[in-house]
Amino acid sequence: MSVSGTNIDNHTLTRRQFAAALAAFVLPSPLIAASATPKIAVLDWGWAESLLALQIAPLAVAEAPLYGDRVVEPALPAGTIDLGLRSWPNMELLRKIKPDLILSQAGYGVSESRLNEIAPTLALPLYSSARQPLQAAEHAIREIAARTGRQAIAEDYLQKSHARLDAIGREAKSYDGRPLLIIKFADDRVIDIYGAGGLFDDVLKRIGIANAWDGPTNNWGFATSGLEAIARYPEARLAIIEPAPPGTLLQSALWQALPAVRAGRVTMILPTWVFGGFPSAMRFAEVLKSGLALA
Amino acid sequence: MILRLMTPARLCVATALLALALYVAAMLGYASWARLPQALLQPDADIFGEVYLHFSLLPRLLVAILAGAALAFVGTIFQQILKNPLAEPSTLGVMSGAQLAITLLSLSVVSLTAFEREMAGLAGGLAAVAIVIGLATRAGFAPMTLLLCGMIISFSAGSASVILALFHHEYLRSVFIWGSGSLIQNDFSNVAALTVRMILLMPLLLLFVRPLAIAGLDDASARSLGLSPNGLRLVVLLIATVLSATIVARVGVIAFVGLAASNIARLAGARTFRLRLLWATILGAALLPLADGLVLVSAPVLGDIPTGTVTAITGAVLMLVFLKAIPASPAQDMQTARPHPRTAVARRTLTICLIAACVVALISLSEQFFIRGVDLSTVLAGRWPRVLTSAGAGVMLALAGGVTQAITRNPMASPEGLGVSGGAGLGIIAAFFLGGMASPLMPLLGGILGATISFGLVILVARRRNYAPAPVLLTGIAIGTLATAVISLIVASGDPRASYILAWTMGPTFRATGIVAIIAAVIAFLGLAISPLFRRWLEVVPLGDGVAKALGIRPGRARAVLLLFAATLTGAATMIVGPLSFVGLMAPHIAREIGARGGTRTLLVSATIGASLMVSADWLGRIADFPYEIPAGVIAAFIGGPYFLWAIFSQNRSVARNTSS
Repeated sequence: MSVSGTNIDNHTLTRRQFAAALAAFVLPSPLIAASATPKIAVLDWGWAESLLALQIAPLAVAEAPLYGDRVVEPALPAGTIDLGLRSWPNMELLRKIKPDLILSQAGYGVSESRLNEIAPTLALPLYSSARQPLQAAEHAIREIAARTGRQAIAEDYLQKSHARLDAIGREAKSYDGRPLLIIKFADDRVIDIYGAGGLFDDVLKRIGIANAWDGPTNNWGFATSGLEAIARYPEARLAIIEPAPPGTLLQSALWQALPAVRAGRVTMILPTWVFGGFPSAMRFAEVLKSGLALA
Repeated sequence: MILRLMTPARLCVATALLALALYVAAMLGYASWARLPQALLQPDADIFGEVYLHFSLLPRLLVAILAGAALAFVGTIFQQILKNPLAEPSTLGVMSGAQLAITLLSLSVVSLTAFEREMAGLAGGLAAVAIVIGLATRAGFAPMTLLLCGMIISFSAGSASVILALFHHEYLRSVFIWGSGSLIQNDFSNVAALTVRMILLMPLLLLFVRPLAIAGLDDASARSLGLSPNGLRLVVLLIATVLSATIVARVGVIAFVGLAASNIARLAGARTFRLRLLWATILGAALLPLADGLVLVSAPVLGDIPTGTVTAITGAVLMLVFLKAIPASPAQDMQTARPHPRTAVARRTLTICLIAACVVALISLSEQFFIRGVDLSTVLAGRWPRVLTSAGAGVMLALAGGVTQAITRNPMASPEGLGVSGGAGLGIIAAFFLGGMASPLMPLLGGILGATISFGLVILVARRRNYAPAPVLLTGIAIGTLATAVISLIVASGDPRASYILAWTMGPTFRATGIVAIIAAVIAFLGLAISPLFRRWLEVVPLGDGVAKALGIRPGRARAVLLLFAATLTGAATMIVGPLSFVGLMAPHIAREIGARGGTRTLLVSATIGASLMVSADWLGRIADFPYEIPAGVIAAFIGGPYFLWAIFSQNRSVARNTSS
């Protein structure tokens, strides 16, 4: 992690920077500000992937190395500067790279006012009292696009995405209609179950598949429980977000006795960032579609 | 009266019945009363409720019984061998050592098998006990020294685990679920594993009951029977540690069951070691199921609380009660403040310390190792708040530490060791959940309130014990444990705020804004300005109540005012640097080591040292893992833990030298 300090001074030119340098050489300076890619520092992964959807590569992202493991795609370009923790990025590094814009999640980590001292900041809500993260994520993409002059790309992206969601929704009509229980194993005994107020729940609503979990959820739209919670929904189909639980559990009598498991209603889906933005929602819809083998 | 009716046997039966009732109540949610026995033993594979009863709740009950019995058994042996009623796996550092080792291993392998976890836990537990025992041996196994070493090892290992959690909390979630002591079972594998280990190791330990019962009397009589007391201790300690570490690795961190069972058995009338071993083991086998039964029954209302958290919180309270059981020995283990050969601190010492503090501050303010090409004014604008905040916190802790050491007449006392910092941390967390992270004022108030409440608790205990050093320090351990348990609970909850809370409790000087810095500086300055008013009290109170009264000072009131002063400074400082810094211990101690003695100037020297330590810690935290920032409080704890151990060790050496000459 500490090597990134030297990288900042010696990193090789990316295509984007090369283009910017070329532009600086050819174009008169006032035009550069408008046409060159803005330098954007991103403190929230959901906004980082949203920015990539707008075809802007962020200059710097908090916990950039971990992003690759958790969000998976869209991938960050190599050479993205690591800003430190998402909950507390390195303020000096932020000052040094002099971004044109900082994107943060409202109510998480550093306050907007402190970031504004360094560079103009857009603090966008994702998990707020409205408890509609998908809508918040869509709103955020439009906001980011408006600030970066990418409205056309945003509208195009959103239109295509919604068309895709509609298509998946139509395909979901071929689904047997069983409510889904979306779970992720925290360890081999404890599971997180995604319900109301979470991104996945919003996606399910959007494509017209019922979420089985009707229990209470926290701010981020999930509940934590033991395996017995699964049995409370005998009609449901299990959608397990990878990584899969250990084989010993899958072979255990307790797991085998779960109504959904006994009936063979278990689907593994590829890892998706739980607290992400619109691209994560899209990715979830896609992996769910292939996981459920919707025609 | 109630105690007189309470024999160990009656107590065990009552506890077991209560535990069983709670378990049955929880089980009835899955099968009818009539089907219950059948479901537990031969479940219908088609009915999930019955399978769950047989494969989850039944092993859970059995694991609780086995682990409770084994931990109580081991705890009683630890207490006997170390002649210390508060010894048990958690207070000797076994649990924290195991936790750190398992955390480290989890980071290097993709998924941890039960066997790997057990081996790592064993290694970590043995290493922690080896260090604690190694240090205690030099102090002749003095109970207080032993507990303090165990506490420091726990804190150091704990703060290392916390750093790892801070940076990898999403990867380490399973380790934290284990660490918080969840007893959820999915099969009988842990039941089988615990049974095998107990069958192998407990009879081995029983072989030593006879020599232990004798060695418990005193070293001289053990020696007269031809036993090497230290050899005996080492063998028994090794086996007991192995047993407790494997149980911890299998089941999770379940602190205080050993402590509670053994002490309750003693209070209920199990006077001899043999009786205590018998009844504590049986009681432990009932107590842990009782705690777990409460967790099960309350789950629909409160959610799944890890059982280890319940035992830690209950244990912390019980520990406060059991402090009475520690014999009040006139010959204190911890040496009281001794007169120093040098009379007054030379003005030069203060000057040198001031210069050192300024140099450290200047380096931290202007250094540009990682961010070249930024003009100095920008660097300064970003850094002065954190440097000023760190310096302010260092001054506050140093003052609080000096005052605490004077009142408790104990050079090893500190706000951190007295649980005042832990209490402040709890207050800050509570304020954080109530008011959020928007304003720094709420956590500040919460911190001061928490510090005052916990210090009040310490005073209550201390007053009853006539301000004897041992109970005061041990009350602190109990409150510190409580704070750790709550933090562990929050991390295990999977709440995304967890990393923020962790960072907060670890002393994030990097969060400091200009306003916070100015508030910190003002509080530190006020503390410095007020402290000369206490000079007379600070000089007289350590000499004892008799002297104080003869000089016309009311010792009780002087102590209360001084304690409040120290609590306020600690509360404010904890908000800035977290509860684990040890600066309150180190600064006054270093001040004495370099010759400062008595009067206002000592406080000034110690405050300057405190400021230098905190500013250095903040700077190291900034450059050690750039761009990731390690909280200054954690860095200070890393330096402070070993320093504390060294101080205990060198103090005991000088005691040994003094007594032999």
